[in-house]
Amino acid sequence: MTDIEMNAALCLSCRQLIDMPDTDGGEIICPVCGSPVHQRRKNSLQKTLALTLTALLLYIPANVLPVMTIETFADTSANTILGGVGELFNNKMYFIAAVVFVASFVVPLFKIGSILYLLTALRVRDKLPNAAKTRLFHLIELIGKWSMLDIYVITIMAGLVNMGFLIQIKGGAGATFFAATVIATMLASKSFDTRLIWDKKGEK
Amino acid sequence: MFMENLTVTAKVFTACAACGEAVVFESNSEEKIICTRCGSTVKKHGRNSALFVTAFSISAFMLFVPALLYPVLDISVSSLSSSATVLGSIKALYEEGLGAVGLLVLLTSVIVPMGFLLTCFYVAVSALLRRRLPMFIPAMRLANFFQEWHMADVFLVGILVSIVKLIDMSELTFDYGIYLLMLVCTFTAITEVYYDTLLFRIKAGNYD
Repeated sequence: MTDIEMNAALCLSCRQLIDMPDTDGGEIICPVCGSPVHQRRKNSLQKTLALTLTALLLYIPANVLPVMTIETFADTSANTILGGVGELFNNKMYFIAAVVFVASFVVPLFKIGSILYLLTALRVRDKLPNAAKTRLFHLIELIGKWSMLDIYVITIMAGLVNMGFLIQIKGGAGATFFAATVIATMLASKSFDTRLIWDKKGEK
Repeated sequence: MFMENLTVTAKVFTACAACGEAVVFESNSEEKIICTRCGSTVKKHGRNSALFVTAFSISAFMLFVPALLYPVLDISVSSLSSSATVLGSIKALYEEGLGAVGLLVLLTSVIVPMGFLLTCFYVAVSALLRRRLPMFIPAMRLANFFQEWHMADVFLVGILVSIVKLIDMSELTFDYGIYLLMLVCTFTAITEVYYDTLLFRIKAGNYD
């Protein structure tokens, strides 16, 4: 039995199930904690789609622009995200190269792809069971914040390596776009309401 | 007949936040409850959880302050040396014109984690005392929000990755800050494992 079949709504703040009043329209306020309650998140799909497309667009400058520049007395070199991974790989640090590659390249794309898949699966019939889709969503929520890894690496390196003319590491414009990409994907997954997957009629 | 009356406890009406299936359980239940339809956790295991969250959240919060102020890494290239603190690194980003990124790092790795620990502590103390302290509901809602955005653990791994990146061009040593930060992240992780909005709200009771 679902909340809609019972004509009830769940307060997402305190998780109390509340009876819906017969009069439709108007906001319901949770009697336990005073938060506004909706049966399903308002405009969930529109918000999720808009934020996912935003993330996809921001992802392009995030990968093209340098995220970090290394200035030594001899020369200046600018690194993009993939360039940094390549350098680690060339220095035979395969494990760390894999960690950074997965966290900053694979995870954002995987998140954007999964959310777009979940959105289309609401319209088109597909073979993946609802429980698997819910698990996929829990997974992208769990790994979402780890894409910020590269931003923190840049922060620490910029703060640490600051020795005047000898060597200096600075953050680049790509870092801003990359941080914005990660935030947009996180906001997208938070505005997606997984209950819509289960609301689809004619599926168990 | 009388025994029946004695054992009746209040029922809690809730629903799975992931699929909408209605769930009813007794308010003194300490078991973990899993949604029968989609497998998501509805309520976490309850025994001792308020005690664990109280202890670990306040410990992590107190360790957070020195973790921010002590340097995490020391570096030396030829004769020059330098060290990085968490706050100093954020300031460096700001001075290089990346103020927006600096602000984001400050929020996600300092302010939100500290806020999460503090609000968790408050909610857990309420649950331990079995009564709602003043501002219990705002604290609970803040804790829910902070839980989604705290990233101190990612920051710690970021420090470890930057060590590997820098190790061949300089001499690096760990400083006190990184050990403190490791403890903070471990304690925060334990806090998060046991923290549950629904469970603690029920334990704190329905009225002020």
